[in-house]
Amino acid sequence: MMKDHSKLIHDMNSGLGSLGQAMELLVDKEMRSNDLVDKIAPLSLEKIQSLIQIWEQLRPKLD
Amino acid sequence: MILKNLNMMVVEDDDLQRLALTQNLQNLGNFYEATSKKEALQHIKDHKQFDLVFLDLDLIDGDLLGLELIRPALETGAYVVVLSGRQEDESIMTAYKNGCHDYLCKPFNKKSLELVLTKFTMAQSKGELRDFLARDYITRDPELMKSLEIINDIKLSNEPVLLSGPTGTGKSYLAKLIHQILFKTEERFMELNCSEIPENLLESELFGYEKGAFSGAETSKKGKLLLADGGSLFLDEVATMSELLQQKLLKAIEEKRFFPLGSEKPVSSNFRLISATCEDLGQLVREKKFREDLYFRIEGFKIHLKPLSKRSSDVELLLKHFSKQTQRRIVFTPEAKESLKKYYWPGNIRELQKLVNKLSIKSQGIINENDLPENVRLNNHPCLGEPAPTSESQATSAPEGEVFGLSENQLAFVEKNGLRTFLQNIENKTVNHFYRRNNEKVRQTLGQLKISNSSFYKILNRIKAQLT
Repeated sequence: MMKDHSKLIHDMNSGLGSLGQAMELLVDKEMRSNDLVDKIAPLSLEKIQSLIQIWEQLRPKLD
Repeated sequence: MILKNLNMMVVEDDDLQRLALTQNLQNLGNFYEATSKKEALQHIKDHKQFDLVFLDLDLIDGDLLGLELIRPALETGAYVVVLSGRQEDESIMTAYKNGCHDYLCKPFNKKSLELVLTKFTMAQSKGELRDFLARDYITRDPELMKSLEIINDIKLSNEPVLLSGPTGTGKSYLAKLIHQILFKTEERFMELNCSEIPENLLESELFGYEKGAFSGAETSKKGKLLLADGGSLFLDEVATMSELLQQKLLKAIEEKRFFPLGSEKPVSSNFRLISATCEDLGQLVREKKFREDLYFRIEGFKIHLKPLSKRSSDVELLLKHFSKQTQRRIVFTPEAKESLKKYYWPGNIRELQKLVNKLSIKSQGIINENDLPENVRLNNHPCLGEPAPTSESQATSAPEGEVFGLSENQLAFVEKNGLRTFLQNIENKTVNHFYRRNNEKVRQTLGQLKISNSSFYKILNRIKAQLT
């Protein structure tokens, strides 16, 4: 189901924020560990795929 | 208060956000995770008690369902923090109206999460300031207690602290207490009285020096700025610092970096600055006697300690407090207490403490009015025998004739006690007269007396010692 425009923007922002937060964790020396990377990597890939889908829905509205 | 063994719940449907939050909180205790309102309510039913709950507003089973979880979470006794990417005032206001304690915007950074945790700690230790006032800094003066509540805010910030008030009101003592509240230790509290050290040595005490930096520097020495790293630097009588040193200090405070004397390598130090003064720094800035930029750097949180004469209700509390600390317990008759409450205490709390110590050694267990020193009974100054200042007698009159000519009595005094004692008495009386006339403004007094800073404080310390 197509979400409305503002919801898509909100989800896009939220998704980008999540990715940024995850990357900050990896950059933080105190937090970084193999275990953490193993958890973050698949979740980040999933998020990127979700963002691509959101972008596919948003793009026609912006053109 | 150290955070550990907390029971926490994180309600967040975004896996990455949930992971980020739980990673940051992992050392604090146990947490339970939920992605929906249903799951969260199940955790609340199963565990019944939480210390901290983080709630996303939009959950997997519906938007803004997080708002409906606030009350159930509060009923577990938790400190409730709402997390959301929503920026609309309406959702933020609704969250607060529903009772949440804090609202954190996503994506959050480590600093904002730390602030939330600090506020949670504060909420848990509400009684700490109350205990502090009852046990450590004795007062029940409403105005002073209100001004001390600022200590709650001092804990939440890195801003400097400026303590002001007449001599003997406990500025140094309060600075130590603030350090202990902030750092939970007495260590790394570095104190420097800027008026007690000659100006040329003050710089080396503050910044330290390398071996051979100047004649006499046979080894290198760390300065107070470096020794205060990770703790507090307390600068007492900061107004007496020279202009050149004020400039150097300003740079060190701003950059948290400085060069020890004779060194080409800068050193860093992260310290909390607490300053104190008897003088009106704002007035000194207006008179161009204190750097304005340094003033704005050190003022931060301001606490003014009133003279004891303006909070006479504390005299009895302090008598009791200091009496308990002496070897012999003494008690005061009601008449003695009345005299003590009426006395104007030019030396403030320091003078009161010295008096209690003296009475506990010299007197019998019950202290009558007649056991009190004459100056206290007559409400006179201990050194001068002059009555307490009133607004009319804020002296603009010239010193008495005896100061300039020698009377028969004075000559007899010299014969009996020696010229040195006589001259010291003259110095004490003159310095004290001008100092009180200038409302304890040091620079103004120095200007009138035309003596050096160190000479002035040598005489003042002698006057204070005579209060014992």
